[in-house]
Amino acid sequence: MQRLTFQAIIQTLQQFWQQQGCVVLQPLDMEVGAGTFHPQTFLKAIGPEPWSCVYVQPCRRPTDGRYGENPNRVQHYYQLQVILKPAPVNIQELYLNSLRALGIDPLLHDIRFVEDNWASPTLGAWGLGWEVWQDGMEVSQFTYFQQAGGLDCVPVTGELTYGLERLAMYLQGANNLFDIVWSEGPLGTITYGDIFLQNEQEMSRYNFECADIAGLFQQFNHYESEGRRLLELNLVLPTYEMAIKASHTFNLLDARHAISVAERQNYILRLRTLISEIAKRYYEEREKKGFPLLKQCEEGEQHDL
Amino acid sequence: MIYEDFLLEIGCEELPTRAQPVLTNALKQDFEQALAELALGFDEIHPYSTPRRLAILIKRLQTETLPNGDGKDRIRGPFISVAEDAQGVPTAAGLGFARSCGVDYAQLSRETTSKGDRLYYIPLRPAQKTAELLPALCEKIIAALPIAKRMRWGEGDISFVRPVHWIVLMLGHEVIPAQILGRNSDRLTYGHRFHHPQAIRLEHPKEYESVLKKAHVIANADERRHLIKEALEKIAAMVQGVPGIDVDLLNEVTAIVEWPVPLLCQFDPHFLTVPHEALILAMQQHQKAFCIQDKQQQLLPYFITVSNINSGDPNEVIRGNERVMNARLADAKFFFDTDRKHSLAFMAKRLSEIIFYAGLGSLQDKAERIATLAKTIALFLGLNGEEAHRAGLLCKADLVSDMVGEFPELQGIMGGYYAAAHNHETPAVAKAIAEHYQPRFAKDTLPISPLGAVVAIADKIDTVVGIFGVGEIPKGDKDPFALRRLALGVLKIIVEKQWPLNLEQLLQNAASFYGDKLKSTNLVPQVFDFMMERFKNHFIEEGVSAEIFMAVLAKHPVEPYDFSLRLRAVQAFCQLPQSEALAAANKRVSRILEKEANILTEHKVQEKLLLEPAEKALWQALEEKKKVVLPLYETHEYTKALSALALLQPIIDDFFDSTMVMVEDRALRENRLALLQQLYDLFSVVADLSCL
Repeated sequence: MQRLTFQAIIQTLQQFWQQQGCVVLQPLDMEVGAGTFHPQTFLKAIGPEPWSCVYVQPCRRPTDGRYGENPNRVQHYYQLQVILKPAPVNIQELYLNSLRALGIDPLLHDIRFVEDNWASPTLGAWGLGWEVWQDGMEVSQFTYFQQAGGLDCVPVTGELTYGLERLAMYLQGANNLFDIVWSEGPLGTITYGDIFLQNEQEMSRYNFECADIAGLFQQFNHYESEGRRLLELNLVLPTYEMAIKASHTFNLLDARHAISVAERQNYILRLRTLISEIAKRYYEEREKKGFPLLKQCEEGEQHDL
Repeated sequence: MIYEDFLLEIGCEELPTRAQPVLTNALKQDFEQALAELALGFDEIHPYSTPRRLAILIKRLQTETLPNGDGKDRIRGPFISVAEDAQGVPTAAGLGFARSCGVDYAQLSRETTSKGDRLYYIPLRPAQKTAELLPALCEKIIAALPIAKRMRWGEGDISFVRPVHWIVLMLGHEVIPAQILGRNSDRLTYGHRFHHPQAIRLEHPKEYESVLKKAHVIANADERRHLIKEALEKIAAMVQGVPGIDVDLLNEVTAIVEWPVPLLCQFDPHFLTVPHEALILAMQQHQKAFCIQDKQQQLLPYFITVSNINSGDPNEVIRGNERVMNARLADAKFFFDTDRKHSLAFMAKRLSEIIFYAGLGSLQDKAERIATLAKTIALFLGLNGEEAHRAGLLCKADLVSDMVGEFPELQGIMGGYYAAAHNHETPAVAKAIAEHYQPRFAKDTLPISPLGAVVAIADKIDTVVGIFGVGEIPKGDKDPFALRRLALGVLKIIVEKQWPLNLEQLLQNAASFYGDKLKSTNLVPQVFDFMMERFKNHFIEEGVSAEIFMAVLAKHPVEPYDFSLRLRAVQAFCQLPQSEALAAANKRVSRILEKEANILTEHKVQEKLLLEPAEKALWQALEEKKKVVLPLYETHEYTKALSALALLQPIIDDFFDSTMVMVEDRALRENRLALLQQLYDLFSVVADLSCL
């Protein structure tokens, strides 16, 4: 089997999902802990409008930093996110076909759907589903959204999240994330480590040791109050951006051990309250506009006929 | 009567592991009950479950209900005396009942009751085909399944544990047409997701198990569990080891595969420097893998993963699993190394940030209270008070460590390791920290080291008193702080260590360390009673009768160990031939004394007033027994004391047979009552035997 480079994996998956009718999107240009934060997932899961898309999202989880010394954990990594709303009946089969497109033979490898019920207290969202294991390695998350921002998801959105680094390690037989081959070409073999090792070392130090705690607390408060102000002005998406910024600030404070266990809940609750209001307001705004994607989709179906 | 096999299979996306046995048991029970209600006979019900299916196979189910059911549902009418006149002609009441049943009067039946003959009618019910009843029955049973978290999928509003893909519903060779969970019933099932993805046509329910086996599915969960267990033992033996089989893990793994293929894997031996408890948890919880230990229970650098495939190249599966395991263990090592950069005492400083419970201060406050109480206990017992204090202060510190953050089950255990690291703390302190959460569950071992036991007692009592003090009293199955387990833990430790600790005093001390934080005014007696209730349940489970427990409790012994000695003594006493007669005598004495309590002024027996030989004999016997028994009481040798007293039985019986207590002469009467009081007092030191 020819070794798929990191960039070829992304291309293969994007192409596969494009063929399934997904809109190919670009990453959100903000710091997020998971692809779910992208408004094209979180907000699109709200309300009746159909939607399907695929995009790569860089993720930051400051507490997962290991100074580049752990073979599996990093504070910055990539997810490939697929959203299918409503989730089609054969969604599991589609997912397995995407693995086959990558050259994974499920009769050779042990592929399993292991129960993992996802919940994001911050987003007021939860869903039921699985981690997908390949030979013991979790390479994807598979979730049927049941609630987002405290609102019931009707219809249900199916979310597939590929952990690209783990998938690549698996496909390339790499024992260490930094050994992943990103590309091969005139520059020779470029590895994940060539691109990101220094970043991991320095960002881990920043996250764990150097981030300015007092400044971060100020920022958190600012983003929250700014969010409240913008919501008054009926600016739903800018408010959501403030919530995203606040969330990352919280994660940095967490990495600095600056938030005690007792306070943690309180901070999460503050974010959750703001995001629930955003979700409600987003639904109302879409409703006012007559749920445009719903109409467009009906027209699309007629077009098909 | 005709009988046919019945099959219901619900084909799903991968089901949660814990739900599988719960749901199949519920299906089995609900079918049993529903079929009994319809008076439908059957041989047996076989439940099946795999990650992708729940199924019920009913062997030889009756295909038709009996006409008129089982004859039990009679409509009862008026008595004949009302329904007919003297000549036997139906009255208006009799005809009215016939009309209400929709039949002629002559078609009614009669039954004899204790109040006379009476009319009744069995409504005519034609036999019904079981096949016609089953769709509604299945729907009702499935709707009532105990599903912890239902989910919706796609566009529909149907909800179940996981999305449903197919329904098999067959009676004999026939499909029973129905729509269940949004799917039309059929005879098509599916095999293993990868080995046999195509549909399989079932001709008859009886072939269900064998057909699936050919399609790489072992539908019977018990069979899968057994196969896995056997394979684990065989594989571990290949490296001269024994598999660590955690029952919960085995059940989980059983529910995660349709075609179990256990594989031997290795991990990098240099991880063996990390505490093995952490390695084992990482293997079990994160990778659902089984560890292997050698004959000395030392961890070996191997593990067993149970795959769900007959892989074309098992080495690929093994390599993949080994890579993940090494990364997981590297993480555990990272936590261990990071934690050890600081001393436990340093970590303890961060406890001030963590609230123990709203209104009860921080964990640091708790640690200080534990330390003070532990020191008091240790000094009383002649142990090292300073070490007890130190262990108390540090016992909660590992809660802020990275390792416990990742594996909460390791609380205490990691604290023990960190205390011992760099020789920061004495071995006794480290051991006490490691042991102080014990017993963590019903059958868990108790702390072995004296200091561990002291800190365990102090910690648990502090929690019970504090939580009670803010009014969070356990009710029914609501006991979020596990106060019942904590309370019993304290009692078991004290009894096992044979320590003469005064529980009332301990509770008093613990409450006083909270200062003015606790509200309840009646707190100590309340907690004491709560703990005695736990004590009682514990001993009843051990086979002690409730009566014996209550007889001892009536004396309100405040030392749990002493309490247990009294229980044993009374238990032994009850085995003696004299015990019944003595218990009766004690009851009699107790009744007399109770009645005369107010009249009795003189407690001293005056020898000159003893007239009858029997009372003289009793007096003498009591005086002699006192000399023997009182010292035995002093040394808590209750069994010996009660055996000695038991010998008084004939003398006491003689006394009651020949002596009148309630005589006219006041002086005589009071003297006899005083004699009885002495008798009663002597007997009632250990327990109130009149309770027996």
